[in-house]
Amino acid sequence: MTGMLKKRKSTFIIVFIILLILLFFLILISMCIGSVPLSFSDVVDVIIYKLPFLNNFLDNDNSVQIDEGIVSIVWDYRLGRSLVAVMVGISLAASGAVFQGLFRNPLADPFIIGASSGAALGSTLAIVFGFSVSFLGFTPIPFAAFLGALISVALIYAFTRTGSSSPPAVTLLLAGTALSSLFFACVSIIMSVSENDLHKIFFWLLGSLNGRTWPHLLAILPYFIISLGIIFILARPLDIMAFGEETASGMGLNVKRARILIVVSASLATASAVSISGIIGFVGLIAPHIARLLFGPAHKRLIPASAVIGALLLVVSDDLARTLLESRELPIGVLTALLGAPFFLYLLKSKQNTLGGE
Amino acid sequence: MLEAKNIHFKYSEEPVLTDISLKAEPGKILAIIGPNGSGKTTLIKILGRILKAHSGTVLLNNKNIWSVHDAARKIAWVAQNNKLAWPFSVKQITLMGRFPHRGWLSSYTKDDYKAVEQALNKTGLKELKDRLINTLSGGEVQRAIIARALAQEPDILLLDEPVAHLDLKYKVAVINLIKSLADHGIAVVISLHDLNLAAQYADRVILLKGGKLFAAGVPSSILNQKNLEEVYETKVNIVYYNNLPFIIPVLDKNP
Repeated sequence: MTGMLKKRKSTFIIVFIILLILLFFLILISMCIGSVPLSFSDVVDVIIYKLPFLNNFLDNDNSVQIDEGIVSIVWDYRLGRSLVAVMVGISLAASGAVFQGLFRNPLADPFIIGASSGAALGSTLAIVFGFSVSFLGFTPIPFAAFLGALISVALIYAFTRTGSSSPPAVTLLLAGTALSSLFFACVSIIMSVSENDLHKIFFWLLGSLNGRTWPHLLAILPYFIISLGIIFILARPLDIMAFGEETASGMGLNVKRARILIVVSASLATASAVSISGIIGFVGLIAPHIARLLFGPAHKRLIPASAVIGALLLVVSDDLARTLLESRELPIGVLTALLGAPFFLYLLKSKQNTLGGE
Repeated sequence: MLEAKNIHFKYSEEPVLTDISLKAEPGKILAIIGPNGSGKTTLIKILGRILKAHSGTVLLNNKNIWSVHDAARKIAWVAQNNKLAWPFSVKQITLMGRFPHRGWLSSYTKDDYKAVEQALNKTGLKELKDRLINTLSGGEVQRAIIARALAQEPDILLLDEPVAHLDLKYKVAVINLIKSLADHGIAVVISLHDLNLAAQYADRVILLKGGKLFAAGVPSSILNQKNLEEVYETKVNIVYYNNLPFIIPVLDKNP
């Protein structure tokens, strides 16, 4: 890991802006794709039509007639879905970066350590038991997912903690796998008992953005904002914790407080993603790794860079999920697994000597 | 000034430290010596506010260390093993030493960068400041960690076996650095395996055996044949060079 672009602040900002522009264009392209193929200019017209200030600008040109059907497809469905993809990508990648900082291990992805399956179990329970009380825009399913993720992270942390040092990679992975299996088993039992919701629950296990749009986006928005807000103030504590918790505490960090905020914010981010998209693995693994290669390990840059790269990964994966098979859509989690699992194995092999904890 | 009074500590049932008192004074090097498992690392952690003693107190300028919320601005601790999870650069690592002064969110100021520059100069790392930690030699890593501690601008520097794995050149470089820090008024507490280093560089030594204070005083009075043979359970000869004791273990001639 060289951090080839990390030297100058200006380089970071330029590359970051390039990534944002790339994301913007990928979103536009993904809005062209679907059962009704649209041209790039159709999509751009709708966007201009829908945004008031640009709309005025367009009226002065008084040229374009817009088909309301196309507006609905582009705005109501495809843009909503793309933005959901962006939010899920950001949440998974940012929580991946934060979990990796906590466990001091580049393999700690929310899926690998069992946080995602915990969130899926929480969501499943909320759906089956029909919790539907909202409070100030906080919807119950993401909250149930949050509790599930929190419990699994707390369990993993308790099981893998070895005094002051960071857990050996093997312990972390085995504990994560065991916990995931346990939660999957619980979800399966619930599936068998309540047949009505088979489809919905099955969906959580594979991960998909099918039919996800504005209402779903709004449902997770408060959770998304809070989790990301906390994650962004954790950059410096996460840097210090790279030395281990004892040195961090010797340097005056309130390690207990930092640890709680890390676990809560990363679990919340994971939960808000999982509660609308199901279990999408490996994004939280790949995105921080690429970000670290580009910008080095300092979390002040690593976290925003991971977030944007995660969004890019999700938008591209969703486009592929929608287009690879002609007749039907693939679950996006299948695609990220196809991409991510070999990458995971590669990381495991290439870092074998350095992943032992202390 | 850092003062420990009647420190007792245990991890489980077995006591690790029993009734230890000591004083670290500005400009002086206090060496903690003793066999493996005698409690050196634990004692240093208690002095550094990493671990809390079960009874007894540590006083920082006459205040209980646990009631001083910004103790990390006064005390810097250099751990025995410094394995970083991520390959930060030397400069980034040194800047982390400013954390006690700026906390989670305040931006780093000119003062912080000045402290970093001074720390890099003192440790001779100016040329290496952009190098990543995983590309450095053991001695350079140790100096980078000390640079981080110096960026804290501490009055008291605690070092746990800082030269244990270094070859002669780096060992001397690190010890000379520590000596010059003490000469500039920092109170240094250092745990050492190497008795001869302790004899040459320390102003005072405390000798631990099984978590108890066996002897304390100036090196020439403490590092004698009787004390060392009893504490280390090994036959030694002492020779003197420039009036300082040198310890030579007696080996079996015909094993």
